[in-house]
Amino acid sequence: MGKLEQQLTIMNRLHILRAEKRLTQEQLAKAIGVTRATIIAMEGGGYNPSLELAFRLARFFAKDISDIFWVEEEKNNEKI
Amino acid sequence: MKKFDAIVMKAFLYELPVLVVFILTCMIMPLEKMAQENFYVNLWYQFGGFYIFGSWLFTALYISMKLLLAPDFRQLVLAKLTFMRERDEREVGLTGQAAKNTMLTTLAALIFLFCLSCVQFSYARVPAEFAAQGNSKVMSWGIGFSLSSHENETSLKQEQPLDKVIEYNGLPLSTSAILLGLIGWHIFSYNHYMRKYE
Repeated sequence: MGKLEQQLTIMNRLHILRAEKRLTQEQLAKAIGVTRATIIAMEGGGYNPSLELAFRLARFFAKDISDIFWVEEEKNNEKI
Repeated sequence: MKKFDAIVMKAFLYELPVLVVFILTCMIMPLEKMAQENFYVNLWYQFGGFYIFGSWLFTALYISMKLLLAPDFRQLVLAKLTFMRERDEREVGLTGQAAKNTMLTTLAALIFLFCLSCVQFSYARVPAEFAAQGNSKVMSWGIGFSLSSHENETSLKQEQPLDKVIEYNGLPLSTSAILLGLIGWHIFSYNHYMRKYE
């Protein structure tokens, strides 16, 4: 597997940002137009949002996308 | 036209429980025979069997044709029928995954059913006077495929009087039962995968 084909793990700090704004998952979901289940899935790392939703979140929290999402490369994923 | 569709949809849905009760009564008791003797049974037999079943079939035919031809109608009806929810992008992805898996499992089921429908097998005892080389038991198997269902009936013709122990000539189910099973399987499979990925 080449370097560019490595599996990427996308991390986020949605949970922290939401807590800072003192918002419930339901309130955040309503604000950005998704369901609460999607917020739960994103916070738990089970779902990676689309670029559009990532921009909506960034705009809502008044941050850059990279402040909310970042990539943690899986170093041990390469087959020997 | 939308009002007509709404009426047809209501007729289709509300007649369904009556139809189920009618089918159940037909299975439990000899309704046809009883209808000749009792006025109320006859009334139920005529109402359930002729008016409800007949009109339900017509509405089902109309709905199925419209489902094939009108994409908006398809989206509206099938979304309700399969409890499909696409409230945001994640759920759109989920429905896609569930639909893909349902398509593959249904295809697998169809291939399996096709294989079962092609196989013919029989195991029989042969009367002593017909036994060849002292063999009193005959086992035969074959594979058959025909486009018409009537052609299958002539398969595995027997020339000798055999006491058949086991005989299998394709699926022992009617076409309607298989189709109904596949519809049920399709809806069940879709909902199962939706819940699994959620």
